[in-house]
Amino acid sequence: MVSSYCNRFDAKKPELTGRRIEAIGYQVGHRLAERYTMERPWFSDHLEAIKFICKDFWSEVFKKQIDNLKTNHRGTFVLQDNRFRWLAQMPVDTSIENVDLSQDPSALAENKATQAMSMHLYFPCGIIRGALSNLGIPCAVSADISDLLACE
Amino acid sequence: MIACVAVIGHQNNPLYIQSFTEADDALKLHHIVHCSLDVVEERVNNPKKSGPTLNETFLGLLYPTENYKVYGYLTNTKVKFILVTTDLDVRDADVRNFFRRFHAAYVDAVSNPFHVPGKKITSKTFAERVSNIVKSFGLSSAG
Repeated sequence: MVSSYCNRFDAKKPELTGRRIEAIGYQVGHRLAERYTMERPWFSDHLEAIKFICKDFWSEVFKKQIDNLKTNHRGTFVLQDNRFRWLAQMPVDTSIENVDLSQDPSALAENKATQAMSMHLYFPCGIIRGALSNLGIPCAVSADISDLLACE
Repeated sequence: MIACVAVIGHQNNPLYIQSFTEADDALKLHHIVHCSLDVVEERVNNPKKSGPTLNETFLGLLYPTENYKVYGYLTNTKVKFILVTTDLDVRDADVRNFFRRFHAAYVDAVSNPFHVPGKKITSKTFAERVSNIVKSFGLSSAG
């Protein structure tokens, strides 16, 4: 779905594509929040709702729990997932079509990979934003990828 | 006998109202549902005064009027379900069971990608499921 949006519709306007994918994710997250909060008692505060997202919601949608949760107690939460299953199988394309000699080829490949990854990340961000806003918490969600190809 | 069921959205906008008795005035039932919203708000905002159970989705008997009993149920997404019944003796377990099935039907109706959240529920499947649940409620409490 993401690649059809990136390559066919609005190929020249990546910001618009990103926002559309995020909007689709928002609708999905909205409905998933209804479904997964069915039998549960209410959340007493924001932290409870975020913990619900980290444990139950994350394991239903992404099949595992969050590895790390940090907060600054002033409304910002950082959720860290060390092995995000939706991106784990993505290949990194090392063939470059238009070689730009002024730029380092390995950096170019990494840029393309990062761009592709960030497009794919709009959808989960939208899902989380939709779920939280249905629970009554208006928010903004952003994703950050670090250590893309690190291995031990 | 269930007189009417209603689904109210989180901004107190009605999403679905269905009455099941032909004799009674629909306006009166709407009025009862509307008044019960105040009771729901009060229960939600003062959890300590109204009883020991906080954080439960099922709110229980909201208030009895001269002919009816009104039960309430609040979901995590602040959507309220109201049940108006004319039965004199209704078991708590029956009402809880009713609301659980009603919630399942509601979640399925909302999962429809063509449904706009915040607008009225127009799905015929939902209406059918609700009338089935209402019919089986009448049978189980009579037996």
